[in-house]
Amino acid sequence: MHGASSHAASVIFGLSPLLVSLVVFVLTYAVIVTEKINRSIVALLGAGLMILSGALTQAEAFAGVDFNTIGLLTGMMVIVSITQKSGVFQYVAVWSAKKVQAKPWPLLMMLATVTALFSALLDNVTTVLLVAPVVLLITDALKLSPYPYLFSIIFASNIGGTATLIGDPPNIMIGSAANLTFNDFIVNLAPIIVVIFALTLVPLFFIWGRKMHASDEDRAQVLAFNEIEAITDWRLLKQALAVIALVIVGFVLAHPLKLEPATIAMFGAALLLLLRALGKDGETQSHETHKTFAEVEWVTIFFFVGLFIVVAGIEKAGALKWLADEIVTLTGGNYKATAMIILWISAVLSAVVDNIPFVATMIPVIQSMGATFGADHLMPLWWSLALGACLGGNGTLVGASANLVVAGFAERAGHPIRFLPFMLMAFPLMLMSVGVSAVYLYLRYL
Amino acid sequence: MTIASIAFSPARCVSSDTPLSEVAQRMVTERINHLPVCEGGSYVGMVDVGSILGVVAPTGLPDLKFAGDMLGVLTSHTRDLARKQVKDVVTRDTPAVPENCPLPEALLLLSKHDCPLAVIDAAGQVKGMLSSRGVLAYLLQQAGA
Repeated sequence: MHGASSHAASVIFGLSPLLVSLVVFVLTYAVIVTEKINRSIVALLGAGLMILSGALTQAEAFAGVDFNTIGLLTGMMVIVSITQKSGVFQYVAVWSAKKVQAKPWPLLMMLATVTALFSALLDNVTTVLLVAPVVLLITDALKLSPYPYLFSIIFASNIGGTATLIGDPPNIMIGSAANLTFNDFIVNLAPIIVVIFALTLVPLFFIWGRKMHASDEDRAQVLAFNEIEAITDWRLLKQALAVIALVIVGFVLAHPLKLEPATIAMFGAALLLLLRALGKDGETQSHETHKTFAEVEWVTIFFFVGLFIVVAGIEKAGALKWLADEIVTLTGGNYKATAMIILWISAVLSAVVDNIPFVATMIPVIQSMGATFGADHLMPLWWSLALGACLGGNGTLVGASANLVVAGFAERAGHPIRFLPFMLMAFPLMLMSVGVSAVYLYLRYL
Repeated sequence: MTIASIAFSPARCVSSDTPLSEVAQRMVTERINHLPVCEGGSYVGMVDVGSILGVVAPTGLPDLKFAGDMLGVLTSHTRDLARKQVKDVVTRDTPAVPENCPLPEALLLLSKHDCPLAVIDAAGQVKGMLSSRGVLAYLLQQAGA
């Protein structure tokens, strides 16, 4: 391989830095894929080995961590953790069910739309964690099978999350690495996501929608739900909505204000924590603050930290530059073909393995391609990666964390979602969404 | 001082494949909240009225004030108890105690698990249930209160 960087002769046993970093990288990813050990533990161990082996110094390791991504994730986690205590997710789900008179097919479309919107602006997993139980309750009351509804919210959460910078962790990582703003994602991805979302509902109507029926008596039960009662803390709701609105405005104006997303998200989180603390005694403030921070998914945050360091290790050794060159050679230097390859490979891989390690690895690869294709032609590659990595999560039950959360609820409710039946329907639908994305990329950028 | 001196409540085990509807009916009729579960004649755990209500109630939501009385859903779930079995809700980490269990040990277990303890013989067969009320009554008697 070419492109080995100039390491100091400090790698363990005097071995090749490229070899050492690749071994650590492959081992780390392989163990993550097997899911035998918690992925965060594996990522941190891999990161530690990168430094201990001499492939990276500690300073280089820290420099490899994208703290903009970490800050944005953490800030949004705090905001969502506090917001969900107000009951707003349940309120919107019940309100939307009543809005369509609890008629089965409009109900499915409405709940899917609500899930997609929440997922676009907030975290996918929290969205489905809070919407899925309401879905189960409503379908129970209507004496309908919850399967079509749960299937739809899985798809909606992954599709919706693709639309914005903050909707899905891969987008956060890509946005940070490629200096893409919130507005860039809205302008470039949101339009096609709306189309994909609508198109996805079409086959669902023909498979399930036409046959759904609920009696007037059962619908009356749902219509008797009082969504106002779902709000448990009105003061908190107003505070949370105000902060979320401020944060989104901040994202929209980030470029002229010269602010990074992490700053906006963390400031929003701090502001919401402050608003919540106002008027409370010290002990209560301390207790609530501790509780909120305890609800941040530190396991996920440290997974990202470990992963960034592992990828930094092989990037420093030159492996990713080599990979980028090989891909360019394979496509004959054709960036259109490269964009399509990235789109489809990202989608298929993301359906079966965690998309975050894949995206973390692909980011420096695409950055390296800038030398060949020129900075102007990198944009389609970034959008290919974002679309493929996010939409691919719909392909199987293990494609995204939100899928597994919904499957867990379904299991406990006595309506298990089995891997193969789900995949037999979901994979073709996912391929359809990626196909539409391919056409969009070709027409718009290539 | 062991629990042998304390009166146990009589207890008939239920098996893991007993329908929950049957267990629920029995709990209501006999006014009891807990029943020991046995497999192959040996004690394996406890089923309680709270676990059965947990099957009837919708799950996963922090509160259900918005849902009104939901009587239709709740009665439908109650009818569904006939299709569920004890093994779906049995709590397996509830310990049993031997007839010669020291009283302080039994008190500790009662306070820790907040449910009656199954009293078993050497063969693991349930001889009765030791309740907190039963222990309290004994202690009050001993204290001459």
